Amino acid sequence: MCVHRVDKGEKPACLTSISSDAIVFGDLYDPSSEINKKLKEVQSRQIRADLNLNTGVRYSGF
Amino acid sequence: MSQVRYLQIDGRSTGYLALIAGLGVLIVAALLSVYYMEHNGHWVTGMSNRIVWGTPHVFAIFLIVAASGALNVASISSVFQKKLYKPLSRLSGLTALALLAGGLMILVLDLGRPDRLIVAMTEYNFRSIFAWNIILYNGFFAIVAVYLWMMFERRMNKFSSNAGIAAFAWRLILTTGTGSIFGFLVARQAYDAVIMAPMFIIMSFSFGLAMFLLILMASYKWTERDLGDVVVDRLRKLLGVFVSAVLYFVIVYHLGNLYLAENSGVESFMLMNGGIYTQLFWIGQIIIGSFAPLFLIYHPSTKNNRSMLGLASVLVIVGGMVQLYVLIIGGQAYPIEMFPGMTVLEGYGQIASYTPSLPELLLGVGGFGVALIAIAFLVKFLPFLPESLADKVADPHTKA
Repeated sequence: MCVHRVDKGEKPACLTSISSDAIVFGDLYDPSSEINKKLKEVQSRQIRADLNLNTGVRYSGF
Repeated sequence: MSQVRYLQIDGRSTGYLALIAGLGVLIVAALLSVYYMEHNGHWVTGMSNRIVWGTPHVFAIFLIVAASGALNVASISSVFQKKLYKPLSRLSGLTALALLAGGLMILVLDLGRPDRLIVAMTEYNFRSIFAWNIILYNGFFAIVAVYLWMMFERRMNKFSSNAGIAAFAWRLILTTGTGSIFGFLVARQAYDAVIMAPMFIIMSFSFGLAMFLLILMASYKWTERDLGDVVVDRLRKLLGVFVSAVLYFVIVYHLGNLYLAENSGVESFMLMNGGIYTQLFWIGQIIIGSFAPLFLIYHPSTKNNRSMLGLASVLVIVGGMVQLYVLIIGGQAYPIEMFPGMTVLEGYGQIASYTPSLPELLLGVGGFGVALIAIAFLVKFLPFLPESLADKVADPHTKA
């Protein structure tokens, strides 16, 4: 996810090119991060949740 | 068995210079390809976000797997105390190091962002099998280098057997690591099988010995040194056993997958209706890479013919590359089951398409170039090759 930008403290390119809040980017390990707050509010899914991988991308709205 | 004398090769003949020049051309072509791919970005290759490991990875993994296998000849001597193999040990260690260097060069030069390599080294991820493999490769270089030094240095000779055992253990762990990259990829149905680890080990025996045999026969023929039938015949039989063993593992792997109903889709893709991958599997891997070499190795009309053994080795190598192509690229082309129990209406449900591009191919071939040029240089500057491997020198059962 644009690791070269994230390492410099910037946001991934996809995030800067959308005007809505369709994508939330943040640190899943940080309990107070925006992404974690959002995950508490909305229902989300992981790809292959059956494999128990705790993937870094979550999807909501389906 | 008389004393074995090791001697550098002369390396001044036109043939030698032509060999170096030819390999140099391959390496330059690879570097130009790397420049082209880096400059334009990886979209100019056949690789995509579905097929992330392409032709360069097939070459790289082949060379890495063959590298650990090429060390076997030395291991048979120092671990299993077979005297016949002892004079071949130095070349075996050298071949192992050179092939690994060629394979790793491909991997490093294919990274889309070489600058990230530093991050991968400084921010080490101990939970990643890829990260484990980096330790395994570097460790292999170090252990085999020490092993070679103990073989070369007379006063260290007494430790060479212990170093050989350490190198043998390490190489088994290394290939277990390489095979497990695929074995542990649970999300891909063609991979996800623990049998990958031992299968890669036995593949390494076969591919590594085929490479070693070709390098051995070529160096003795081109330097006009004696290479007796005893050595060649022993290696021929060994290659036959290894090729059969690979075939056995391939059969068990597919049987195991066929038995699991969830894998019936990927199996019918690989074995029956996968188009190019099915053809490559049956024609390239099974007929050209397994049956044909076995015929050449065992049939009375061809088994005592060195050219035929050379051809068999080439076929084992070609078949091995095809095997890795089918596994690596075919395995990625088959779609991942992203949301089990749900129907994918559009997007990632189809077979991914992949066509190898010329720069990818040139980079891969350049890996072979690097490995072979390293061997050609080092046998000129250090005494790796016995002056003679004629039967009266090499055969432990001959009285000198």
